[in-house]
Amino acid sequence: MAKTVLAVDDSATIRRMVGFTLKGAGYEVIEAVDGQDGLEKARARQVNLVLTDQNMPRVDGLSLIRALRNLPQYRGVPILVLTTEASDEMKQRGRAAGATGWLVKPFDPNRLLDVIHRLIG
Amino acid sequence: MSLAIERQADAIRGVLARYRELHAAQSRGARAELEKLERLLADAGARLAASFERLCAAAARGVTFIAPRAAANDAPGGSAAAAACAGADDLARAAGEAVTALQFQDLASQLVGHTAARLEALDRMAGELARLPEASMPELCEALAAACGARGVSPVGQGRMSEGGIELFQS
Repeated sequence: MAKTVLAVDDSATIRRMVGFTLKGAGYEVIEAVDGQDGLEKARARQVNLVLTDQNMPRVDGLSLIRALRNLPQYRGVPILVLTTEASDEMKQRGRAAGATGWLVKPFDPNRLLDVIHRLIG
Repeated sequence: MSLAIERQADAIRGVLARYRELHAAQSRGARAELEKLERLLADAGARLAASFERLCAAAARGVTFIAPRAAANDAPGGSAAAAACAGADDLARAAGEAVTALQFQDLASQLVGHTAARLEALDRMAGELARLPEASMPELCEALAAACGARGVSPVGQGRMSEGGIELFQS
Protein backbone atom coordinates (compact mmCIF):
# COMPACT_ATOMS: atom_id res chain seq x y z
CA MET A 1 0.00 0.00 0.00
CA ALA A 2 1.36 3.43 -0.95
CA LYS A 3 2.65 5.69 1.81
CA THR A 4 0.68 8.91 2.12
CA VAL A 5 2.17 12.41 2.24
CA LEU A 6 0.17 15.50 3.20
CA ALA A 7 1.48 18.51 1.22
CA VAL A 8 0.42 21.83 2.77
CA ASP A 9 1.17 24.99 0.80
CA ASP A 10 -0.83 28.03 -0.29
CA SER A 11 1.05 28.05 -3.61
CA ALA A 12 -0.71 25.92 -6.22
CA THR A 13 2.54 25.60 -8.19
CA ILE A 14 4.43 24.21 -5.21
CA ARG A 15 1.63 21.73 -4.41
CA ARG A 16 1.66 20.69 -8.04
CA MET A 17 5.46 20.20 -8.14
CA VAL A 18 5.45 18.29 -4.84
CA GLY A 19 2.60 16.12 -6.14
CA PHE A 20 4.38 15.49 -9.44
CA THR A 21 7.60 14.50 -7.66
CA LEU A 22 6.06 12.24 -5.02
CA LYS A 23 3.35 10.59 -7.12
CA GLY A 24 5.99 9.71 -9.71
CA ALA A 25 7.85 7.84 -6.97
CA GLY A 26 4.76 5.91 -5.86
CA TYR A 27 3.57 8.00 -2.92
CA GLU A 28 -0.03 9.05 -2.48
CA VAL A 29 -0.29 12.81 -2.01
CA ILE A 30 -3.05 14.71 -0.23
CA GLU A 31 -2.99 18.47 -0.82
CA ALA A 32 -4.01 21.22 1.61
CA VAL A 33 -4.10 24.95 0.84
CA ASP A 34 -3.12 26.25 4.30
CA GLY A 35 -2.45 25.15 7.87
CA GLN A 36 -6.13 25.01 8.81
CA ASP A 37 -6.96 22.87 5.80
CA GLY A 38 -3.91 20.72 6.57
CA LEU A 39 -4.98 20.13 10.15
CA GLU A 40 -8.48 19.15 9.06
CA LYS A 41 -7.15 16.72 6.44
CA ALA A 42 -4.60 15.24 8.86
CA ARG A 43 -7.38 14.65 11.40
CA ALA A 44 -9.65 13.11 8.77
CA ARG A 45 -7.01 10.69 7.54
CA GLN A 46 -3.78 9.45 9.08
CA VAL A 47 -0.82 10.23 6.83
CA ASN A 48 2.76 8.92 6.96
CA LEU A 49 4.51 12.27 6.52
CA VAL A 50 3.58 15.96 6.49
CA LEU A 51 5.35 18.48 4.27
CA THR A 52 4.31 22.03 5.11
CA ASP A 53 5.06 25.59 4.07
CA GLN A 54 5.62 28.18 6.83
CA ASN A 55 4.02 31.43 5.65
CA MET A 56 0.37 30.70 4.88
CA PRO A 57 -2.98 32.40 5.49
CA ARG A 58 -5.17 31.42 8.47
CA VAL A 59 -2.78 28.95 10.16
CA ASP A 60 0.97 29.05 9.46
CA GLY A 61 3.30 26.06 9.29
CA LEU A 62 4.71 26.23 12.82
CA SER A 63 1.23 26.52 14.32
CA LEU A 64 0.18 23.50 12.25
CA ILE A 65 3.15 21.51 13.57
CA ARG A 66 2.32 22.38 17.19
CA ALA A 67 -1.31 21.40 16.64
CA LEU A 68 -0.30 18.10 15.02
CA ARG A 69 2.20 17.28 17.77
CA ASN A 70 -0.65 17.66 20.26
CA LEU A 71 -2.52 14.85 18.51
CA PRO A 72 -1.39 11.44 19.82
CA GLN A 73 -1.49 9.91 16.33
CA TYR A 74 0.97 12.53 14.98
CA ARG A 75 3.59 12.53 17.75
CA GLY A 76 5.91 10.25 15.81
CA VAL A 77 5.04 11.24 12.26
CA PRO A 78 7.84 13.06 10.37
CA ILE A 79 6.97 16.69 9.62
CA LEU A 80 9.13 18.62 7.17
CA VAL A 81 8.93 22.37 6.67
CA LEU A 82 9.31 23.49 3.04
CA THR A 83 9.77 27.24 2.97
CA THR A 84 11.64 30.18 1.49
CA GLU A 85 12.78 31.09 5.02
CA ALA A 86 16.41 30.12 5.51
CA SER A 87 17.40 31.88 8.74
CA ASP A 88 18.84 29.88 11.64
CA GLU A 89 16.37 31.59 13.96
CA MET A 90 13.40 30.27 11.99
CA LYS A 91 14.95 26.80 11.77
CA GLN A 92 15.34 26.73 15.54
CA ARG A 93 11.74 27.84 15.96
CA GLY A 94 10.71 25.02 13.63
CA ARG A 95 12.75 22.51 15.57
CA ALA A 96 11.26 23.72 18.86
CA ALA A 97 7.75 23.40 17.39
CA GLY A 98 8.44 19.75 16.57
CA ALA A 99 9.60 19.79 12.94
CA THR A 100 11.69 16.84 11.79
CA GLY A 101 13.56 18.82 9.15
CA TRP A 102 13.80 22.12 7.29
CA LEU A 103 13.82 22.36 3.48
CA VAL A 104 14.55 25.67 1.80
CA LYS A 105 12.77 26.38 -1.50
CA PRO A 106 13.26 25.81 -4.31
CA PHE A 107 13.51 22.09 -3.60
CA ASP A 108 15.43 19.62 -5.73
CA PRO A 109 13.05 16.71 -6.43
CA ASN A 110 15.73 14.03 -6.09
CA ARG A 111 16.91 15.36 -2.75
CA LEU A 112 13.33 15.67 -1.53
CA LEU A 113 12.70 12.04 -2.49
CA ASP A 114 15.92 10.92 -0.78
CA VAL A 115 14.85 12.57 2.47
CA ILE A 116 11.29 11.26 2.35
CA HIS A 117 12.50 7.78 1.47
CA ARG A 118 14.90 7.90 4.40
CA LEU A 119 12.11 8.95 6.76
CA ILE A 120 9.21 6.73 5.71
CA GLY A 121 10.60 4.34 3.15
CA MET B 1 7.88 87.26 13.39
CA SER B 2 4.98 84.97 14.26
CA LEU B 3 3.31 85.96 10.97
CA ALA B 4 6.44 84.90 9.06
CA ILE B 5 6.51 81.59 10.93
CA GLU B 6 2.82 81.08 10.25
CA ARG B 7 3.40 81.69 6.53
CA GLN B 8 6.29 79.25 6.55
CA ALA B 9 4.12 76.67 8.30
CA ASP B 10 1.41 77.16 5.68
CA ALA B 11 3.97 76.71 2.93
CA ILE B 12 5.17 73.46 4.53
CA ARG B 13 1.56 72.24 4.85
CA GLY B 14 1.01 73.05 1.18
CA VAL B 15 4.12 71.20 0.06
CA LEU B 16 3.22 68.23 2.22
CA ALA B 17 -0.34 68.12 0.91
CA ARG B 18 0.98 68.12 -2.65
CA TYR B 19 3.56 65.47 -1.75
CA ARG B 20 0.91 63.22 -0.18
CA GLU B 21 -1.30 63.61 -3.24
CA LEU B 22 1.53 62.63 -5.62
CA HIS B 23 2.72 59.89 -3.31
CA ALA B 24 -0.78 58.39 -3.12
CA ALA B 25 -1.14 58.42 -6.92
CA GLN B 26 2.25 56.74 -7.43
CA SER B 27 1.51 54.25 -4.68
CA ARG B 28 -1.87 53.33 -6.20
CA GLY B 29 -0.20 52.84 -9.58
CA ALA B 30 2.57 50.69 -8.13
CA ARG B 31 0.05 48.56 -6.22
CA ALA B 32 -2.06 48.02 -9.33
CA GLU B 33 1.05 46.98 -11.27
CA LEU B 34 2.11 44.58 -8.53
CA GLU B 35 -1.35 43.00 -8.55
CA LYS B 36 -1.12 42.61 -12.33
CA LEU B 37 2.36 41.10 -12.00
CA GLU B 38 1.06 38.66 -9.38
CA ARG B 39 -1.78 37.58 -11.69
CA LEU B 40 0.60 37.18 -14.64
CA LEU B 41 3.00 35.12 -12.55
CA ALA B 42 0.21 32.87 -11.29
CA ASP B 43 -1.16 32.41 -14.79
CA ALA B 44 2.29 31.72 -16.30
CA GLY B 45 3.17 29.35 -13.45
CA ALA B 46 -0.05 27.36 -13.85
CA ARG B 47 0.30 27.15 -17.65
CA LEU B 48 3.97 26.14 -17.47
CA ALA B 49 3.23 23.51 -14.83
CA ALA B 50 0.36 22.08 -16.89
CA SER B 51 2.48 22.00 -20.08
CA PHE B 52 5.34 20.43 -18.17
CA GLU B 53 3.10 17.68 -16.81
CA ARG B 54 1.71 16.95 -20.29
CA LEU B 55 5.22 16.86 -21.77
CA CYS B 56 6.42 14.49 -19.06
CA ALA B 57 3.42 12.20 -19.57
CA ALA B 58 4.02 12.16 -23.34
CA ALA B 59 7.75 11.56 -22.85
CA ALA B 60 7.07 8.70 -20.43
CA ARG B 61 4.71 7.10 -22.97
CA GLY B 62 7.38 7.49 -25.65
CA VAL B 63 10.08 5.90 -23.51
CA THR B 64 7.74 3.06 -22.53
CA PHE B 65 7.00 2.47 -26.20
CA ILE B 66 10.52 2.81 -27.59
CA ALA B 67 12.73 1.15 -24.97
CA PRO B 68 11.35 -2.43 -25.21
CA ARG B 69 11.31 -2.27 -29.01
CA ALA B 70 14.85 -0.98 -29.13
CA ALA B 71 15.94 -3.78 -26.82
CA ALA B 72 14.07 -6.41 -28.85
CA ASN B 73 15.52 -5.30 -32.18
CA ASP B 74 19.00 -4.62 -30.93
CA ALA B 75 21.88 -6.87 -31.80
CA PRO B 76 23.66 -8.41 -28.80
CA GLY B 77 25.77 -5.67 -27.21
CA GLY B 78 24.05 -3.16 -29.53
CA SER B 79 23.62 0.50 -28.87
CA ALA B 80 19.90 1.11 -29.50
CA ALA B 81 18.75 0.00 -26.03
CA ALA B 82 21.61 1.90 -24.39
CA ALA B 83 20.65 5.02 -26.33
CA ALA B 84 17.02 4.62 -25.26
CA CYS B 85 18.12 4.31 -21.61
CA ALA B 86 20.38 7.36 -21.91
CA GLY B 87 17.47 9.28 -23.43
CA ALA B 88 15.27 8.31 -20.50
CA ASP B 89 17.97 9.44 -18.03
CA ASP B 90 18.29 12.78 -19.85
CA LEU B 91 14.52 13.25 -19.67
CA ALA B 92 14.44 12.45 -15.96
CA ARG B 93 17.28 14.90 -15.28
CA ALA B 94 15.61 17.64 -17.34
CA ALA B 95 12.28 17.01 -15.58
CA GLY B 96 14.00 17.33 -12.18
CA GLU B 97 15.58 20.64 -13.18
CA ALA B 98 12.21 21.89 -14.46
CA VAL B 99 10.51 20.97 -11.15
CA THR B 100 13.07 23.12 -9.34
CA ALA B 101 12.82 26.02 -11.81
CA LEU B 102 9.01 26.04 -11.89
CA GLN B 103 9.00 27.00 -8.23
CA PHE B 104 10.01 30.52 -9.35
CA GLN B 105 6.34 31.52 -9.18
CA ASP B 106 6.13 30.96 -5.41
CA LEU B 107 9.35 32.88 -4.68
CA ALA B 108 8.41 35.71 -7.05
CA SER B 109 4.92 35.91 -5.56
CA GLN B 110 6.38 36.24 -2.08
CA LEU B 111 8.70 39.01 -3.26
CA VAL B 112 5.68 40.81 -4.75
CA GLY B 113 3.98 40.48 -1.36
CA HIS B 114 7.02 41.89 0.42
CA THR B 115 7.19 44.80 -2.01
CA ALA B 116 3.49 45.54 -1.42
CA ALA B 117 4.16 45.54 2.32
CA ARG B 118 7.02 48.00 1.81
CA LEU B 119 4.69 50.27 -0.16
CA GLU B 120 2.24 50.19 2.73
CA ALA B 121 5.08 51.22 5.06
CA LEU B 122 5.93 54.14 2.74
CA ASP B 123 2.25 55.16 2.73
CA ARG B 124 2.19 55.12 6.53
CA MET B 125 5.38 57.21 6.61
CA ALA B 126 3.87 59.73 4.18
CA GLY B 127 0.81 59.89 6.43
CA GLU B 128 2.97 60.65 9.45
CA LEU B 129 4.70 63.48 7.57
CA ALA B 130 1.33 65.24 7.45
CA ARG B 131 1.81 65.94 11.15
CA LEU B 132 4.45 68.51 10.23
CA PRO B 133 4.81 71.28 11.24
CA GLU B 134 2.65 70.73 14.36
CA ALA B 135 4.48 67.64 15.69
CA SER B 136 7.84 67.96 17.41
CA MET B 137 10.85 66.42 15.67
CA PRO B 138 11.32 63.63 18.26
CA GLU B 139 7.59 62.74 17.99
CA LEU B 140 7.80 62.67 14.23
CA CYS B 141 10.99 60.57 14.18
CA GLU B 142 9.36 58.07 16.54
CA ALA B 143 6.21 57.90 14.43
CA LEU B 144 8.25 57.45 11.23
CA ALA B 145 10.29 54.65 12.80
CA ALA B 146 7.11 52.90 13.94
CA ALA B 147 5.50 53.25 10.50
CA CYS B 148 8.64 51.95 8.82
CA GLY B 149 9.28 49.08 11.22
CA ALA B 150 5.92 47.33 11.24
CA ARG B 151 6.26 45.33 8.03
CA GLY B 152 5.72 41.92 9.56
CA VAL B 153 7.01 39.93 6.60
CA SER B 154 10.14 37.86 6.05
CA PRO B 155 12.47 38.43 3.11
CA VAL B 156 13.20 35.91 0.37
CA GLY B 157 16.97 35.53 0.49
CA GLN B 158 17.38 33.32 -2.57
CA GLY B 159 18.92 35.07 -5.55
CA ARG B 160 19.03 32.04 -7.83
CA MET B 161 16.90 28.95 -8.38
CA SER B 162 19.70 26.69 -7.18
CA GLU B 163 19.79 27.95 -3.60
CA GLY B 164 17.46 25.50 -1.90
CA GLY B 165 18.66 23.21 0.88
CA ILE B 166 17.73 20.45 3.29
CA GLU B 167 18.50 20.05 6.97
CA LEU B 168 17.19 17.16 9.04
CA PHE B 169 16.89 17.82 12.77
CA GLN B 170 16.54 14.15 13.64
CA SER B 171 16.67 10.94 11.68
